[in-house]
Amino acid sequence: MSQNTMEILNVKDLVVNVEDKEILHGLNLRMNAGETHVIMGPNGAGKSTLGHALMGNPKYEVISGEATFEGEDLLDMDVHKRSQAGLYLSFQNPIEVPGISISNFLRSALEQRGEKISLWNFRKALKAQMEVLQMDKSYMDRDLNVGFSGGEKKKAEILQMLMLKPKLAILDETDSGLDVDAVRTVSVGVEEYQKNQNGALLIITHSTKILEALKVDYVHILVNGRIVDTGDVSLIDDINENGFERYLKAEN
Amino acid sequence: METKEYVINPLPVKTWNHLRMNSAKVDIEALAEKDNIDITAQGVTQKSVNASAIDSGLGHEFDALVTEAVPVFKAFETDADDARIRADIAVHAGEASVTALDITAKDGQTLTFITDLKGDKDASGSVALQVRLHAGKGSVINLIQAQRSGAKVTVFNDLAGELADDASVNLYQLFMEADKTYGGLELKLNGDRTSFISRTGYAVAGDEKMDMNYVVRFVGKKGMAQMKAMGSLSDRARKLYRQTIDFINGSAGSSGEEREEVLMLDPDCVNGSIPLILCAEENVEGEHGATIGQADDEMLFYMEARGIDKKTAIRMLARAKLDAVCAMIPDEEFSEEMAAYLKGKDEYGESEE
Repeated sequence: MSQNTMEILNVKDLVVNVEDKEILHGLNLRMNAGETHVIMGPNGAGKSTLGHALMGNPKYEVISGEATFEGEDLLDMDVHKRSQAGLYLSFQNPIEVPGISISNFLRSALEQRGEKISLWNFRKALKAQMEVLQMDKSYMDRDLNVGFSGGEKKKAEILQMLMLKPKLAILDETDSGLDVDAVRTVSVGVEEYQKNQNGALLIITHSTKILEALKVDYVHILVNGRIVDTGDVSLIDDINENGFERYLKAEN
Repeated sequence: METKEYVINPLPVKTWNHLRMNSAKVDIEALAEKDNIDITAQGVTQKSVNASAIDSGLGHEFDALVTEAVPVFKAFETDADDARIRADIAVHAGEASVTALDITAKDGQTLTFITDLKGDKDASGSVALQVRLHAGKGSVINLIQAQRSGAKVTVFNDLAGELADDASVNLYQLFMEADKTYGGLELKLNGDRTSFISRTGYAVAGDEKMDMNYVVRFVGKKGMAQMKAMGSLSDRARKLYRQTIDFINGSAGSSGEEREEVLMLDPDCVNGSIPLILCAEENVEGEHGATIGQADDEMLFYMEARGIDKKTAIRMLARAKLDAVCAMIPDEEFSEEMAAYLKGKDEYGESEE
């Protein structure tokens, strides 16, 4: 377990609707700074809904419940304020932003945080993080995500995380659709974030490849909009062996 | 101020009248030459030439207005192989100024010509600029135009030109700030194997209006033209862009392309696009296309999720089109100046709020 026990996220009885349909039915989750939590669950359980609701996606309507980030009311913050406070969501399907290069995009995002960084130092830092992710340097001047392959988009998500240095990063199926090599590269980026930036991670995943190099503190099983079980890293092996069947049966 | 109605920006061939897109009717006050131009040039000779009628994008009525107001044009030519001329035109409060320039690139020369319409803090009224280009055999003219006249200024930016054998004209335009912008171009690709490339960037916001009419006539054989306009509309902005490629009989082997990318950032803005291809020659290729995009909620959420507030996100998307053209400008010094101006404009806007 992490030695850093300062609470970073506390979600209480969160109920979230998507297009008038209730997806999360009173979800509870508590995380401390620097911890890594994994959320696993079958398709449609509400895993992505949790990530988007915490980030403030207007398509995800919070009906009731509470969520605090470092003790502050997260649900009351504008989306950009949540990000500036240190919350990060890696998108499962990253959005293409035509006309704005990765470099310009990230520099603007840092400037909005009040960080004054010279162009030279910024590009140097960006290049260093691109090296970690084995990204071609020419990508820094390409329009964000435009024409990128699935793997390149996921790398760009991790690149943004490394540059923005959030306190808590939610990785929404960052490993989905990636080949073995790409998963390995993305994992290195996540490991870099975990080790060198002492960032907390909430990893939403189906697969466990991305977790192999990471120190996992807790594993949660999300079924039908609720966390139905929490355990240590051994729970991952259990799911790999037995799947979610027993949880689904219990729910039904 | 006394004004008179003019019909400008006429389409070469009319479309449905009820669409009100065949031309623009505009009240224009009497234009006069002012002492508002500053020329920076090296190894360039400035002469005077008597005004004469020409086919220009803004049309005959506007051309007549210019030639009446400016009986003697400022003309530039050089003996150097490679020359750069910059014309800074100041826009002041309450003026109705007109500037007419005549540019010649002799055979084999490369000439970069920059025009910068720049308003001072209280700029208002109207400013007109007509540039005539004469590209000799094998010459290259890079015409770079910046328009930052001010939010209370009506701008008339009129171009006309002709290209001899193997001549090239490359046009880069940044339309950044004006209450109303009327832009026109008519180029005659008279020679064989001519080339014309244009990249026009714009950001139209608030209640601003933009009305454009670009016509390229292929006369000689194996000519090539690529026209691309890219811009953004926000708030209640209105924009109409006419692009015409005219293949005259005999222009065999020529190809022309007209493209437009429009980003509409608000539901109340109005976009009009008329891509027109006229064809009196069989052996030619003409292409046109327009892409109309919107800053959808997903994209804005994505940008906000990285800590960029909505207002800045929209401004970045609007500026991206201008930045793209800015990056293509072949004159490094001016490109950097415009990039800094665009960045400063953003920061100034933010600090005002």
